[in-house]
Amino acid sequence: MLQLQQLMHKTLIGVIGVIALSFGSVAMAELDALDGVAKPKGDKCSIPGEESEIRAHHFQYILHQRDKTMHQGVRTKDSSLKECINCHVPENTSVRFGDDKHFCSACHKQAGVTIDCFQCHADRPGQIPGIHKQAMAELETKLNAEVTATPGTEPSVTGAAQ
Amino acid sequence: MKEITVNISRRHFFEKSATAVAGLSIAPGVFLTQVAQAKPAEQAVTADKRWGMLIDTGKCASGCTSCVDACHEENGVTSHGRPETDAQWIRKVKLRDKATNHVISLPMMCQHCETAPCVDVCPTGASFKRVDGIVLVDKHICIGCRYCMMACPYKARSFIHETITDQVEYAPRGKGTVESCTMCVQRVDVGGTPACVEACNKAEHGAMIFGDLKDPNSAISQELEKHGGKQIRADLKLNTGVRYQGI
Repeated sequence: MLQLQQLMHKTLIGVIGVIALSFGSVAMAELDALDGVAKPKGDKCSIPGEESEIRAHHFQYILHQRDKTMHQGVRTKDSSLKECINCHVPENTSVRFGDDKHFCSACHKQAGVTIDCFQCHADRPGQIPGIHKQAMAELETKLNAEVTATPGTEPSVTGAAQ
Repeated sequence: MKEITVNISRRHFFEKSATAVAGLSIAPGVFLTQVAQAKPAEQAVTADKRWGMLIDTGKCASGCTSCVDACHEENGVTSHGRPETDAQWIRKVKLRDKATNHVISLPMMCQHCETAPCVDVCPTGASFKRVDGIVLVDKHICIGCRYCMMACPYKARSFIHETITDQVEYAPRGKGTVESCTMCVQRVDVGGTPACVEACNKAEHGAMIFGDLKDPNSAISQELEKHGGKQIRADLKLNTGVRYQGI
């Protein structure tokens, strides 16, 4: 009986040892996953919190922002998928989602997580047609012109209010 | 006392100019036309506005497809070589009166109904109306059942049959979901004008006016007040956001 107990004890230690070793190798592999992946452009992540928090829960932040953008028209850069791509994927890259060098693919492949974000969303920055770029440039000029033009109208407005 | 009044109105002025320049029309003659208004990015849209469009069919040139081309370029809507199932956010329609042979040309797209049938029938809540009146599809929860396509009296929606690549960054599109005109929500939210309206103006037709239907001083409201505008299938009482003249 004592021998059986000792045997079980040893087996248990062995199993724990194997588990610990495999965890260690996963941790090492996690670090390897981002090897060769382009470094982010910015210094600070648009998702709040420490890196471990971002790694563990980024999808929750993105999901929350997704609904705010879609339904309420909130278009801040915080936790926006577009910002993830703008920062973590270089411009004019040939790397696409699914490649080992794509920032999102690298970890998700490692973790065995299938995501469908990029069935619809652009997987690299700069996917903006000329017509939109031109419209935004014209809009900016127009809004700037209004800001500089409005102080001149101030006397008549205050006059009317009095 | 007088100085305080000046300060208050000055502060009032800056508040207004930051968010809604058109509100300044309390001073007669200061602003007659609507000025582009940039909503701060962190601010949610409100029901104080209702975006709409007014289309003058008398000015819409037969054969011109500027609005369609601009829309599809802006939103990355491309053909898969199968015209019958290609997505179509806006299309040109030609109507001929058999009695007089009078031909009317007009652009047809999502009419952004107040009581939208597509929203009514959607089983998942993917079809929804934003509080500012823009009807959208939340593709994250769209299951591609196409009930909305059957419910829409304007045939405004398209289903995506093919795998899509190279989407533009602000207009995600993907296989298995339904889509339609978004009134270029990515532009409207930053104070811009939909691509179709802009293109129509650039082509010097000026057949389309975009603006806030709730603001009595907006160009669209003024024109509607002066000359009126009809809804297509007004009998359905959908209170569309897109109105037409000359039909």
